[in-house]
Parts: sequence; structure tokens; C-alpha cells
Amino acid sequence: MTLVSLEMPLDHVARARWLERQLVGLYLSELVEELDSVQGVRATRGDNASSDAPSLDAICHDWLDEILRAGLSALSSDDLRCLLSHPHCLIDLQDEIFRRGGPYWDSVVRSAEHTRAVARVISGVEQTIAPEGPSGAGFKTADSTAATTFPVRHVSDASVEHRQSRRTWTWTLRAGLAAASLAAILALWQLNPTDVTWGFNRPDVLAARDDPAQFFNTLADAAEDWFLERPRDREPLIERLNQFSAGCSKLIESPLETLSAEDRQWLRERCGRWKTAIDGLSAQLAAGQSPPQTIRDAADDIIRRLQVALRERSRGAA
Amino acid sequence: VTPTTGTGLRRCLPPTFVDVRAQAYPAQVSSTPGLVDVDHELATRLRAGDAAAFHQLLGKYSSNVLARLRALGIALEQAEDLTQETWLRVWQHRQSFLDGNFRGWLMTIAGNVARTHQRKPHLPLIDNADAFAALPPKMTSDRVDALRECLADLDDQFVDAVRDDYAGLTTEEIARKNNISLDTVASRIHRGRKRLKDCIQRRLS
Repeated sequence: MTLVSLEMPLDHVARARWLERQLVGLYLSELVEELDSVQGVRATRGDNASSDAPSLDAICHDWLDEILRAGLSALSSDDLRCLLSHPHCLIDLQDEIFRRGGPYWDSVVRSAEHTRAVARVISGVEQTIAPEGPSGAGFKTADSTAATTFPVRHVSDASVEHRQSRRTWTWTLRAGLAAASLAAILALWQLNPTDVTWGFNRPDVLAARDDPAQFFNTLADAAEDWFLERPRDREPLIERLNQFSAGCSKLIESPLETLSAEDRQWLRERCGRWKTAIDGLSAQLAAGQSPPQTIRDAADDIIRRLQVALRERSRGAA
Repeated sequence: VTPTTGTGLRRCLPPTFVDVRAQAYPAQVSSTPGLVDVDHELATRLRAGDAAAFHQLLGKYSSNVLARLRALGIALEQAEDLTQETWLRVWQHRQSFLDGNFRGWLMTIAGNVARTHQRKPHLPLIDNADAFAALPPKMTSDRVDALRECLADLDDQFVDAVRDDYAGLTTEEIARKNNISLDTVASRIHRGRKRLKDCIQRRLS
């Protein structure tokens, strides 16, 4: 990577989508510095911004809620220009997106590098909070359907600050992931979430106003879309797994108004588990830990089981 | 964990909006009620010590925490460690989460972790010499310095085109402003970016 900003598209719509990815991505700080430098403005960030910097409200107004709801695509070219010409505001806008942004922002694709870093974080947290038997004292499970009970192993400030061994394995893992990274990054950067129209991403699925029983069946039918394409190579399979996962996210975040509170809770919880499992497969594949065929078989198994669960729930709701 | 309002918001956001933010994380601050409901339910279970809820929140929001820490100027390797630390604090302090916006609470913890980190004298994160190979070739300041130097060396016509482009002007607007054709604008932006990229790569290598 040399400069983030050199990849900025010229087209307004493409630029808005690109900027959305930067806002939730790993290199926003670099982008802000670059934009500031090119525009001849002193680099400003967060609390260090000069007090006379024009406020977002002073120069562009009335569209913050719309950004939080629907992203940057709704902005006019004037509004987008306003944002780009005051780059320090992008840092604050990111804060607002993460605090108040709607589900749209969860659907903005993160880079493969980002996904792998998150996988390392989750793995690190799980290593720190280790699985143990049901008698574990620290990390108990209130949900009777959850598979594992956990005790907290290292949570003191001192132990948090001394994790050299974790860093060692992290570096080893990074070296092993280097080759997989490039291909996966390219695959994910090409993924446009708005183009995904299969599985739970199908526009008709969440728009359905069926009775609960029919709705669960609709979801099970939609999950069948997974089997329509059978990618054999790693990159397309990662992309497909990520698309399925994005559909789960969309489902979890949707109001699910046709369902009872109990059904909603059940579906969101199950969908969260399916998503975690699919994300885990995607991370394994990106890390080169398992061959694509093995991962695809595992994903097939998860999706068949989720279909069974949905159909059983449908019968219960009937 | 003491909730604090965000960093530079008073500069960049409408005053009325900041006032709302300051009211200790009201439950309905999200623009999407469904999202609040899901988070609220998970956060309530988290507060009760539910591991499954913790894992769902961990999977859901780790990418945001990591991105936020990076945006605050923390290097990726450190940001990963601090994201883990953030989640450990979430677990440790789960009972201090009051009814409200979980994401706001989470981002506040991440901000506090970042501030604590930035106040500390830092030990090198690298454990062995081989690990240096995985580092980016230059730090951010070098990249920005190279960018400034390369801009200074670039022909004025390309500098103007790239500046206007970065400022968000459309090609039509740049064409009108400089009284040149659209093709010329596109060509200048393209060539300007390419020259910048080549120049920066030369300097960084």
C-alpha cells in the first residue's frame, strides 16, 4: 500500500461507496492525512483538530441522519464534496456511524485484511477466556441452549498488558497468512453487497409479510440458494460464505415484525450462531487452514441443519 | 468505566445532536429501532453474565472497535491488542452497563483504552527480528512527507487536477473551472495520480 487516496474512484456513486468502505475500514486515519496533505490543510484529527476548523454543521447540514440510515449514496455531489474537503470530520463521522449507524453500515463490506484481523482478535479473546466445564466460575451461560460454559482465565489489568506470547503467535500466524491475504483482499474488494440477491439477501425474503409458519419456510427456501453455486476455489468460496454471512446479518437486524417476540428472539439467536459458524469457516479458508472442499462440505452441513431448524420452527408456529 | 461523550464532535456535528449524545446513552439513539432492540436484548443478557450474548456482541462489533482504534492513529498490531483489551473490559465491567446504547458504551470503552494506551510510554511490540519483515515499509508520517514532496515536484496542471479531484469536484466542475474538456480533466487526474504514485513508491523504497 502506498496511498489510500490514490484508489479513490472518479465517479460520484462509486466514490460514495468507496468512501463508505473507508469509513468502516482500517485506513481511515491514513486517508484523512492524505486528503489534508493534498488539500494543503494542516492534518487534524480528533481532539487535536484546530478550534477554528469549520464544523460539519456549518458547512453541510441536515444529512447526518440520512447518512447513518442509508450511507453516503444518498448524498449529492455537493454534500460528498463537503465531506471530502473537511477530512477531519470523517473521523467524527465514523464515531457517529459506529455509535448510531443503522444496519446499512453493517452490510458495508470489510476487507479481507480487516476480517482476518477480527478473527485474530476473537481468537485472542477466546484464548484469554478459555472454555471449561459447567462448574466454571467466571463466564457462565444464562442461555440453556448455549453449548459451552466459560470461566474467565486472565482478566486482570496486569495480564492484559503482558501478552507477549500472544503477539508471538500472532506474528507467526500473519506470516502464514500472507499469501492468502492478497487473493482474499482482492476477492472481497470486488464484492458489492448491494448486488447480492440470493439467500437471506433476496429482496423478497425480508419484505415477506407471511404468517410466522410461512415466514420460516420462506427462510428455509431462501437458504437453499446456497446450493445453487458450488465454487471450488478458495476466493470465490470465501466470497460466497461472506455473502451468506451478510444475509444473516441483515436478517438479525431486521425488525421481523411478523414474528412473535419469542420467535424473533429464537431466530436472531440462531442466526447469530449460524453467522458465527460461517464466519469461522471463511476465516479458516482465508488462513489456508483447510482445503476449500472441506470448508464447503462443512458449510453445506451447517446450512442443511439450519434449514431443518427453520422448518421445525415453522411447524411449531403453525 | 466512565462514559464520556465523543472526541471532536462539538466541532463537527450540530450542537443539538451533541446535546442528545451527552444524555448518558439514551436507549433509542439508533436510527434503526430494530437494531437497538437486538443490542439491548444482548446487552441485557451480557450484564447477567451470559457468555452466548457476549460472543454474539464480540462477533458483531469487533470490526468496528478495531476500525475505530485504527482511526485514532493506532497501528494495526497494537489496535488488535487493544481491541482484545476493550472486550475484556466489556466483560469485566458488564455490570456497569446501564440501560441504553450498547454501541455507544462499547465505543466509549474503546476510546478510553486508546487514551490510556496513548498516554503510556511504549515498549516495542515486536518480539523478534523476523517479525519486522511483516511491518509496512514506512510509517504514516513518511508516507505523508513523501506525498507532500511529490506534490511539490508535480507540474501545476496535475497538482490542480488532483487537488480538485480530492476536494470532491466532479470532472464536469473541474472542466468548467479550468475551461478544459472532460477528457483533458480525466487525463490530468489519471496522469497526476500515476506520477504521484510512482514518485511516492520511489521515495518510500
